[in-house]
Amino acid sequence: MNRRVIAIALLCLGISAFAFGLAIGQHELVRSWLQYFSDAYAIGFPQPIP
Amino acid sequence: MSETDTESPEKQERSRDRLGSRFARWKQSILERTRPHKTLHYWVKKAFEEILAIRIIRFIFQLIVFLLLFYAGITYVLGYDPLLESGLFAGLAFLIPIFGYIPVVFDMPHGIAQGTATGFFDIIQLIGQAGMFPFIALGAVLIIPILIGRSFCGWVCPFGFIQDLCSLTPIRTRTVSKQTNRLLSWIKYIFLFTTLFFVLWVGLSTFLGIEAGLVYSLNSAGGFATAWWSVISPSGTFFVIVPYLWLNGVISPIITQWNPSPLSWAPIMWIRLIFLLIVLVAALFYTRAYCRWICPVGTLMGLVSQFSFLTVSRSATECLHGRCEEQRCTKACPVGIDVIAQPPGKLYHRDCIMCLDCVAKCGYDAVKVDYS
Ligand code: SF4
Ligand code: SF4
Ligand code: SF4
Repeated sequence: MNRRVIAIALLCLGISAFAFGLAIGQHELVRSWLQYFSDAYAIGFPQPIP
Repeated sequence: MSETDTESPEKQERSRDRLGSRFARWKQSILERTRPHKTLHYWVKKAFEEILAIRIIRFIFQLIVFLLLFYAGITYVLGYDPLLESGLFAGLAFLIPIFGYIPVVFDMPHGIAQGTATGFFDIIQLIGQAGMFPFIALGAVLIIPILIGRSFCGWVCPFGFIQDLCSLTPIRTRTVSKQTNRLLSWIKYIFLFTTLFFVLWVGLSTFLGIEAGLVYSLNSAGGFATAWWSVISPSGTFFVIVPYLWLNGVISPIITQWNPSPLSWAPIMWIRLIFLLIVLVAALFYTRAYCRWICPVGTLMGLVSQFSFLTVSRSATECLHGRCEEQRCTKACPVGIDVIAQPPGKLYHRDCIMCLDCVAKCGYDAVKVDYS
């Protein structure tokens, strides 16, 4: 029973965090990073390995 | 007197006997007769019941994801995506950012150096260490394991798949004692909390504008201040660095545009490769060794999945509680959970990867999938 309550609480928390992240456009950040990397594809990687 | 005693229950049974139960007994007698000789019937039955039903489907799932991720690594290395450029999958490009929030199926070449393949765990590190709070990624960490447990570990994670392949080799896998298992399990918590500590430390200092000198010097040692775990993650090494080395002629001379001597590699490069090697060798001897004792991604999911709606469940009435011939449920578990030692009913265990091997192996139908 307790586990069920915790599970539902965590789920609600997760959904709120996810929705809030989307609302403030955090996914765009990841998208822009990816865009940056795909642009980097185009120019080639000068020194890709540390 | 004795005759009537023995006859009456038989009579009763005969009267109750219907086509179904006669058929069941007939089937049972065939099975009993064929089992010791391991006839074709035995193998077909075994294939359908134990292998095809769960193992093969899981294998196919894992293989598809593995190929996708390996392909992603190769596109990263090539610098372009042959399939996407051919126009075959152009319409699917919008899906790419979504993959970032799936726990493990992701390949994120970040910065100039480190390719990683741990999905939301990378994003938590990248966003966190850049001084922001990773809302979406943490949301995914909470939502996915609550809804489906660690199914991603059992069915999707390509690094788990590689370990499953390792355990298929003829080398006999070993078990560890409970004490050793408990001791080794500490390693994954150390890795997880060190990573989270770095995320907090670097994130806060970036957010507050305080310079964290040591951390930034660590960054020059290989990007530790950008994403601590991703720098050494063996899955990143396997899916990005190894294809890189391979395609760039270090391992095989396919492309020779850049071909430095291994002696000129930075130390972190060696650490990565040696770590990967240790993990793969360990997986040969201990099933899912990396998942059980090291992987912080699975550990983080496990902290949440212990409250999951989706679990396996051992029936208190149908289970013989270890008095069955082989205790196959416990022996089948690739992550070493002592299924019999857990209380009957839903199995809430941080390490359970929902592979369903225990469901497939219990010959008494006592372990079932439970969603409640
Ligand atoms: S524990 Fe880590 S490596 Fe293992 S299956 Fe899960 S995410 Fe993959
Ligand atoms: S194999 Fe099945 S019957 Fe035997 S102990 Fe495990 S769950 Fe119970
Ligand atoms: S308890 Fe069952 S489902 Fe969970 S990891 Fe072990 S064998 Fe797989």
